Amino acid sequence: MASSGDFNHIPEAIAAIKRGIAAAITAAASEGQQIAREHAAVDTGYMRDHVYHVTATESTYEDGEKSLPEIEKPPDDQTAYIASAARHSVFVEYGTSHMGAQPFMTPMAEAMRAKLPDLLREHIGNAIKDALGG
Amino acid sequence: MDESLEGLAWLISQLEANSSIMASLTGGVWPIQAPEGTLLPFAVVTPMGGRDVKGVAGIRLFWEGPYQVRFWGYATQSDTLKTVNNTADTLLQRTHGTTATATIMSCIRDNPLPILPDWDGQQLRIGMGGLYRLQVRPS
Repeated sequence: MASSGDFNHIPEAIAAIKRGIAAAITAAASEGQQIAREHAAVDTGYMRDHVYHVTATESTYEDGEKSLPEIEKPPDDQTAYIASAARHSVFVEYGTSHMGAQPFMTPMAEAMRAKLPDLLREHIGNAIKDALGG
Repeated sequence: MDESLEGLAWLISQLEANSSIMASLTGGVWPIQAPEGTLLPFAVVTPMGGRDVKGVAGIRLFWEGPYQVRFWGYATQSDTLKTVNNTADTLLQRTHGTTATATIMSCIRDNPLPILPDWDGQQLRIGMGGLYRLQVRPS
């Protein structure tokens, strides 16, 4: 005879939701990196090629002679960072007194603001299906 | 309609309509980039991207996006820049308005911007300002 505990799938659902969020964040980090690279102004291509993302388990950082150090990994798998290693990135993003801004990180953030709800919906849904069926 | 351009025009008009700000900004207010040789201090307003906010069936409700409002001057003019920046923030924060063809539904600062240094070979220049998010729709 089944116990009443067999019908309580809330712990599995919560775990699945957390896995889904982590998967969505990883996907968003990768997509955000790509979008920032697409928006990046290109002279030598160094800045574009050194946009990277860091999650709790992975990093696409590549060192270079004109690079800033890699940022620290996020504290959990619900967080990711997208960054630019090129030292001059801030001046390209915001401009200087004699050079107009050519933003690439802010437009990426705007794009990801719109995309993130769909990514969360997709990955949380998949994780719940995998865990509970349906 | 390009709501981004409407927002840009509105922000510039707001700054230019303020006599206190314009009295301090010898070089004026410019979209995107000030021309070579513009006297300091001056302001530059730059669209930083944005997106359509849509409702059911793709109906466009409004557009929203951030703008960089930055005041440039020599480091020796930092007090003036700080005053102008504060005046502009009071002027723009949580306000709304219209252009000839668009309604600015809201203007709210996302965050203040980092102070940037800019060495021109002789003197240190600095820029300070804020990132303002506008919601715009055709009127």
